[in-house]
Formats: sequence, structure tokens, C-alpha cells
Amino acid sequence: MNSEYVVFILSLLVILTAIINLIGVLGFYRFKNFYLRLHAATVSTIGGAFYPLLVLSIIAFIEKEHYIGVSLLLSAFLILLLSPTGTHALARATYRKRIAIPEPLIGDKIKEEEASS
Amino acid sequence: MNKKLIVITSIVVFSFILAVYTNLTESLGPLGLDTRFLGKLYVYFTNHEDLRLSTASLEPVTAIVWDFRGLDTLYETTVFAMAIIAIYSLFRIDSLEEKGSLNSSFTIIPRLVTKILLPINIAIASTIAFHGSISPGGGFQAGSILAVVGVLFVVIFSYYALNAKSINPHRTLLFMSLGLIAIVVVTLIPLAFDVFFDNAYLIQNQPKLDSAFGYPKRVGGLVFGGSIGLFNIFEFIAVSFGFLTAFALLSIPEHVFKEKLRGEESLE
Repeated sequence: MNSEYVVFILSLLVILTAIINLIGVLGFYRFKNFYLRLHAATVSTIGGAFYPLLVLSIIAFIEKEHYIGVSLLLSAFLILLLSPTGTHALARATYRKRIAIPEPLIGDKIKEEEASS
Repeated sequence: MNKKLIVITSIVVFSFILAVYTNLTESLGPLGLDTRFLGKLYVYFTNHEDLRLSTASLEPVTAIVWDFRGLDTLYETTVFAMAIIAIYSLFRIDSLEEKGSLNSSFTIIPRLVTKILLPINIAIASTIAFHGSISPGGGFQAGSILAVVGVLFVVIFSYYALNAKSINPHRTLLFMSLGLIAIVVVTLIPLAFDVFFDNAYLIQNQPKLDSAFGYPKRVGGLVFGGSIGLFNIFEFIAVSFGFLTAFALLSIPEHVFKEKLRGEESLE
């Protein structure tokens, strides 16, 4: 199989992640409250930063640019590690301080656990 | 309208007009499309094959910062050290007898991720320091990155946890001073060479026309840049521990100050 076609398809995937990024940004501006906006921000960091870096690293390995490929993989790994951590810490702090009202609320596990204990 | 906003806006507008004026009237020298002679010299002699003219560093910025005007950077480092010592003398706390809670208010997720990140951070900082004479970066940048380790540790765990790892302001200040002394020693070694052996100059890096003294250009095949490599490493130590001192002092809980510095409790 010709590697040029593979690179072309992978480049299309990178463009797709750019669209995901746009969706994330729109959500960040249009959603009503903090938790929903946090969700939109995570969409654009994982879909718009982690996946394109992964795809670009595959392209770099196909083009035999191993140094760039490894750097991209490392960056992707760091984003995968840091983005959910930051989101988790933000959401937890906001919930505990009762700054934002979670809405729409389907279930509240933390409250249930506090009530049961 | 807000008074502060007006003041800030007028300052920004004034400096912008001043910059445009000096550029238009060419008061700081003629503007040309050609590269200036001095600039060409800097780039040309950064990594010249004739060691008597070269700085032995592949990175022009580091070469210019440390070797072409080494005194300037030496004074910058001195100013930084003075600032840290000033902070240290303002926050004059002998010891932190109180043992606070080591428990973090964060869940396991941020704590675990921080534990994974700290070694990565240290590795990146040392890479930037040791590669200072090859790629952009150098001692100061690397030191700033390493100092983030301390901030992360205080935020995610606590100041007492940092203390429990036996990192306290006194010890970090000691290491900063050691780094600074090492920088001074590197600048003074050529003078000692001058006294005991042959002609040499202060903060000399590579051999000159009438002097044979020179720091190693390469160490084990890796471009080291003579004294530039040494400066980078010692500046890395001095800056990282200097910033750590400042951060550690600033993260001491406020009620401890109130007791110790202002003596508020004893007055009551």
C-alpha cells in the first residue's frame, strides 16, 4: 500500500479534529453553566489536541521523522494526563464550594454517598 | 470612568507614541535593510572553526548572553541573587516548629498525576540546562522550569509536606549561594592560570591570540561550549534554588508570620 495515501487520509483526520475543536469552542461560548462549559472545554482538548497530536506522530513515523514522532507522542501523553486532571480538580473544587449549580442534574453520587455515610 | 484605567491607558498610549516617534525620526540610529556589521560579527564568530575567535557554542543567543557580554549576565545574576536575599531577610523566620497536616485536600487523581509529572519536569529542566550551548534555553530558563516543581508540590500537597522532604528556605538559599560561588570561581580560574602559568584574561572562555588558556570545547563528543556550559549548569542550580527559596518563603502560612514577625499574639 502506498504510504502517500495513508498520509493523505491521516491529514483528513487532522482536519476533522480541527472541526471538533471548533465545536468545542462553540460549546464553550454557548453553554449555560460552568459544568457544561467544562465539558465543552474537555471536548476540544481531547478531541482537538490529543487526537491530532497522535495522528501527526503516526504521520511523522511514516515519514521516518522519529525524533518529531516521539516528541509528539510525549506531548499527547502529557495532554491526556493533564487535561482530565485539571478538569477533575476544577469541577471538584467548584462542587465543594457550591459556586456553580449543576444543571441539568441527572444524579448526584457525592450527595448520595454523604447521605449514606 | 475608572481613574486607574485612564492612567494605565495614557501610559500605554504615551509609550507607544514614544516608540513610533523614535522609530520614525531614527533617533536611535539609522534603520536599514542591511544587517549591521556588529550583528554579522556576532553570528559569524559564534561557532567559528578558529577557536581563538569563537565562543565554542552552537547557540548564538547563549553565546552572546554569556560570552560576548559576559559581565552583563553576571550582573543580572547578581541582581537576581540580591532580590532573593532581600526576600529572605524580610521573611526572617528561624524555623517552622509547627507541624501542619500533611494531608492533601485533593483526591488521589491530582496527587498521582503530580507524582508522575515531577520527574518529567526535572528531566526537562536538566535537558534545557545541559543543552544550553546547543539549543535555545540555558540556565535561567531551566531554573525557572525546575522551580515550578516546588510550586506544584506546595499547591497539590502542602508547605509542610515540602518541609518534610527537608526542603526549607535555609537549605535552598545555601544551594543558591553554592551555585553563585561556582559561577564566580569559573570566571576567576583564568586569573589563577595567569598568576601561576601563562597569560590569561578574566572570564576568558577559549584560547586567545596571546593566551593558551581554554575551557574544554567538547565533553565526550557533545558540544559543551567551554565556560558557557559550566555557566549554564551553575546558573541552573543558582536560579532554581533561588526561585525555590522565594516560593518556599511565600508559601509559609500567614498566621505563622503574624506570630513570629509582627509579634501580634504576644502584644495581646
